[in-house]
Amino acid sequence: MNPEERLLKELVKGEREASALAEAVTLPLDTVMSLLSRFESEGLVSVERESHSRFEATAEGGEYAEAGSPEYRLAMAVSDGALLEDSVRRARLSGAGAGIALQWAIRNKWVTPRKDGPATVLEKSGKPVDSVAEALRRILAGKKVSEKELQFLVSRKLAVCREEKTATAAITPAGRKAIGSHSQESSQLTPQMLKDGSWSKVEFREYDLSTITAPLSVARKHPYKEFLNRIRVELASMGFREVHGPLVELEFWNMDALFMPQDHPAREVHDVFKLKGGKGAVQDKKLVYGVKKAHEVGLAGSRGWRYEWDPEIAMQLVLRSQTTAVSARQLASGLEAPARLFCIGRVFRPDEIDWKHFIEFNQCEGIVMDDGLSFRELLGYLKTFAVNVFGVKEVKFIPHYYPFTEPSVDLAIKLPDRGWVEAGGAGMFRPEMLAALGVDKPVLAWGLGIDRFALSGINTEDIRDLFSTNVEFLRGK
Amino acid sequence: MVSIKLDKTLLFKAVGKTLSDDALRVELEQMKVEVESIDDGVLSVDVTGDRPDLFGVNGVARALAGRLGIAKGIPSLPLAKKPALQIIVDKDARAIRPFVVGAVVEGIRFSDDSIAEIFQLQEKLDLTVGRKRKRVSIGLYDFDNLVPPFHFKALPPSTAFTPLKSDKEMTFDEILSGHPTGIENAKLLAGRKNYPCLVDAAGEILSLIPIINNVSSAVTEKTTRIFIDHTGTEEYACNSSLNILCQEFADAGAKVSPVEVVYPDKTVLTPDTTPHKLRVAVAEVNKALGASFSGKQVADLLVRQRINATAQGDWVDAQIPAYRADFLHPVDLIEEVALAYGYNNFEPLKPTAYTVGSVSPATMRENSVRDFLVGAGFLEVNTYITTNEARIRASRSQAAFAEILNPVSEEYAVLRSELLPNLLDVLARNTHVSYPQNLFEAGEVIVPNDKLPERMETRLAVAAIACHSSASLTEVASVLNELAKRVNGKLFLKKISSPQFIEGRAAEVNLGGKTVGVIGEIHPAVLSGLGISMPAAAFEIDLP
Repeated sequence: MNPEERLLKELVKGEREASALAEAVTLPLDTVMSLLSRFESEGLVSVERESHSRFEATAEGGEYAEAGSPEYRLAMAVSDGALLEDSVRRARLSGAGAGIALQWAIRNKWVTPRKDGPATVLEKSGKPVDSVAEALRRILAGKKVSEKELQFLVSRKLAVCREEKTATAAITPAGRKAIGSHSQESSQLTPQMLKDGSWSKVEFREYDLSTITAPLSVARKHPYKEFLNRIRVELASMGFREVHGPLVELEFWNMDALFMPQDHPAREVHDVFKLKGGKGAVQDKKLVYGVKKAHEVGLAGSRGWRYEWDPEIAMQLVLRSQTTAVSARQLASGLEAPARLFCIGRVFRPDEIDWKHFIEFNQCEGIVMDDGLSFRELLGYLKTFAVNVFGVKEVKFIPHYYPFTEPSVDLAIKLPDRGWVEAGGAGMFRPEMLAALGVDKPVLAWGLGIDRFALSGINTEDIRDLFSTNVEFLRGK
Repeated sequence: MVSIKLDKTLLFKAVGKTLSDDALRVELEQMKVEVESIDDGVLSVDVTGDRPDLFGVNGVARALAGRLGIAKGIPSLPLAKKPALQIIVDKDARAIRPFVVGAVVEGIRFSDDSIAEIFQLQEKLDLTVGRKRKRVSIGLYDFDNLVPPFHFKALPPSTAFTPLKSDKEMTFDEILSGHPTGIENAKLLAGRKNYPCLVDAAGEILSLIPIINNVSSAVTEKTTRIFIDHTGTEEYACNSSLNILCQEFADAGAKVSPVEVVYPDKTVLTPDTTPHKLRVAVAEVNKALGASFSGKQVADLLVRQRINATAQGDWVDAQIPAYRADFLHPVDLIEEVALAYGYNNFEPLKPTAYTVGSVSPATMRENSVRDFLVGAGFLEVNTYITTNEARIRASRSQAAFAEILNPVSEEYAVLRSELLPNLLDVLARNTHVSYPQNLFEAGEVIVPNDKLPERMETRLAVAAIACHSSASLTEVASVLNELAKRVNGKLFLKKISSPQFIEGRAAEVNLGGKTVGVIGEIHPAVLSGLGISMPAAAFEIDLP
């Protein structure tokens, strides 16, 4: 039976709301709606239309309902006399969230800000009640919420009003008569029609073009991973071979093999994550001895750092804090010249957690090993990256310091909209490091700051969006 | 990078030349001093960690004057012939902090500004060269109130004096447990029976080292003579940082007198201002920089870096001022040559080596799996490797995982050893979003493995989860079966029992004869625990 017939016959049983009707005749709601409006114009059914509004929590509203409103979280995190920054951190707020929280917490008279020298201190005042989150929870649970609260939530973009239309159809006497007359009209070409040739006798009903689309959940690849893949392809096309290394490293590979002294500030607990559960090992005793010697008395004409190198410190397990560890492993593995390698990988460093900082990010770096490499060739590579990776011609070289390279240089590129931006760091590996790893040729090392460019590639400023858990954002809506 | 503030007027006065803000930025940027802002005649700059001699306004002026060709070679540091005093080092104090160096400076007027500048330099030196006072700790005192000679000795914790930033007498122990500076640095003296301190001939305590000074000898704008002490664990670091301070004072016009340090076994005159000698072959300079400098050109460039240098045939002999401690190898001289020549004056060379480039096989495999899963209708997510135990427990996973010793947040205190808990977490955060939510992630996981030298194995894994009203084992098994065909492995499923999955609807995944993961319908207790009111089925496998 064709849809028209099914629909009219269903209405003979009594009037029906459109969505109930759609379910009963197993047709999509939009098909039912377009059929009803056609039947209405033909006088076969009468349709009663009503619209009413329904409130829904937005994504942000959903978060507040779960975790509490930011102002409430801030107010609860305040202990008298604590610095504003500390309370914000304790409330796990950041960036825009912190601003909103402070503004509302003050307006609600839950906290009072007070200047203490250059710092701002918060004092508790009222008794905070999180009516915002409570109202949102009621919305989510489908319970009643006062008009005033609704307006307030909408003004803060925590809830939206959705207009819902219902249509109730009843068959008319003309409609009852029309049953049986739709046999020659069809909404769908079927395999059967093609087989038996009945398609030639069928008239296909016209679509209402204004109602034919329905929302679709699309699958897609993660834009950040695609960005990293584009960089991989660029580097491979320039003759670099991709390599990988472990994320959990020994300090030996992460620091000692890079000629970073064991009391170097970047080795402190504030700058590298250490792992619970014991120490690792390096099997190549000759290598360990070379590194020890480089640190203690120097290799290759160096006077060394001149302290007692402690193998216990070197065997501590850490989360890789720089992909240079991967380059060191490659160099120690007996790499043959000429070699050009790159690595794109996660690194981990203790940091503030906010929209500009996170404890995990990706580094992109590589090395070139060959006879006769010079600083000028290093500058040549940086210039090539500026053109091929970042798409800019104008570059500037700025002296810098890295513990494992000498000379060391930073690459700045000129962007049309933002002026000079730092885009990477580079240098020639120090002779002490190379000698300890058994390398007898110069090695150029470079790293590119790609995350900033990844952000503009996906139109965001918040680095946490690179690891977003928001499905709507990931779907690209 | 070390952030410091510099007074522009003092800087130009010391350089002997005025520059526009733009010109100043350009010059400083090329000498490892990055200008963040210039406000009201104050420069906020970041200096790289290898150049503590640039943490003071006179140090920056000294280097800038060299760059601009106003001054050349090692700056003079005239030392008085006669030591201003003796410091007598006792055996007990020496066991705790083995080295003491010192000097006395006089003959300059201290305005508020110049005192602030000197305290800034002291603080930054303590922090960097001093490794937060552990390696070197610096003290400045009003010398007029003190009676030489001084003794460096260890005294019992009950000894008392009135420390800076306090108005009452405190014992050493009270300082370490009750004074802000004491609390901050107490760990440096942890476990010591007696604490090191400087005491003058009249028995007045100058300071508890390396913690805090006595308020009675505090430096103020009325001070005319300053006694400086550097104590520490490395003689070289103590001496070079003392040289930085003395040179800073000398450049400001002060007269510097040495201090004689009497150890139980030897007597040393400090500061030792002898320049370090280092030589570099001209050929090495040219090879490293891709340049063709003559010996004389190399020497002339070094002289601009405030280094004395003379060309001797194929070599250049350099004398480096004692305030610079960053020379370990001739390559450090080569960088000085490049800095003086100007990085931007080198013509970049086009890369010459021929090598075959490639994206790694692992990345290629990961990408082909990603292509397949997107084609099968799964949305890709990219989550953090750091996670938390609660998230792993919520998935009822039994897998072992690694933990961070010093996490910055409980949220991110462990490392993921599986991807599924993260996919479930994403579902739990998106219950208000339309279904189906079919998600996948391909990425690295960290699996404890005592057989490896690192004891943790970094593996590449892929997990996919289907979440909608009719999600089932059939659906995800069909996806996995198609995936298996594309990675050339025959799929074999063996029934298992796991709290993560519904009983009778879970299996171990065997691909090409190897067990690589699990598949199943997520247990309703897991879903309801996460507030997900939609069925879900998932698999997770290691990628070869």
